[in-house]
Amino acid sequence: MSNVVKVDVWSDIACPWCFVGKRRFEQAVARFDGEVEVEYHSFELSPDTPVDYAGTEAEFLAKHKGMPTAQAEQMLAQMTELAAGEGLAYDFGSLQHANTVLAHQALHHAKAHGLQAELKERLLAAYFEQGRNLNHAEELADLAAEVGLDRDAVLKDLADGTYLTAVRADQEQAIEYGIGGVPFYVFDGRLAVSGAQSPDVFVSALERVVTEAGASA
Amino acid sequence: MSGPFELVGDADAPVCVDGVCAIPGADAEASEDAPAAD
Repeated sequence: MSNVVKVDVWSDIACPWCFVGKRRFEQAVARFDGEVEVEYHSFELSPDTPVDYAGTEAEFLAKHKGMPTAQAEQMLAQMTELAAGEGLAYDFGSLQHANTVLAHQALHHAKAHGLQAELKERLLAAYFEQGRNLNHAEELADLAAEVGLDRDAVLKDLADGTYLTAVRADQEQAIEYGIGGVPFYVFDGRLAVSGAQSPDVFVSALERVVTEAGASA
Repeated sequence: MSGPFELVGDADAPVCVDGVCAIPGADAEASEDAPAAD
């Protein structure tokens, strides 16, 4: 019996819990006695985000989500602390809020070229830790080139909207599945985990999928 | 959840929804309906 477990993950690069969840999931994969194949799917957490929003992240939250700026700042500080517990250095002070539709297209380009996992990690770090502006194709292409993709090919596909249909298909599937929040993980199309849960939960899901596959083989 | 799969784990685990991300423990000092960060 093969121990390869397919895991489909809906997430957004502008989702702080998605990066935290990624680290917790990676811990689970390291503990799991088997192979895991991960495929990331697009989920625009806040598609109404304007390109090149000029304010701070706290100001964006306060203005667009209807909360006092002080409360937003408190939330970001707590999120930063939680992320640090996973070894992530969130820097909301330098974060440049982004509309992520182009980033999702870049991730589909990367998937087509076998480098989706690498670009996913690069974009999350660029966004949350390094204050990179992921609103624009040029910046995304620079980051894509860092993980081994052809910069010009990325730029062309982003300009042509080559993968916009794929992004929308992911989003439609999320709606069909009733996925309302991210990160969201589907194991072998049979078990699902919602949210940045503990590594124990992910390990349990991975092992159960393998056990049940063996029982039905 | 209406997908063709069984949901496992903690149903209240932190997720981001509509640009807002729940933070456990943040509710007490936050407004009554918006314990969140983006």
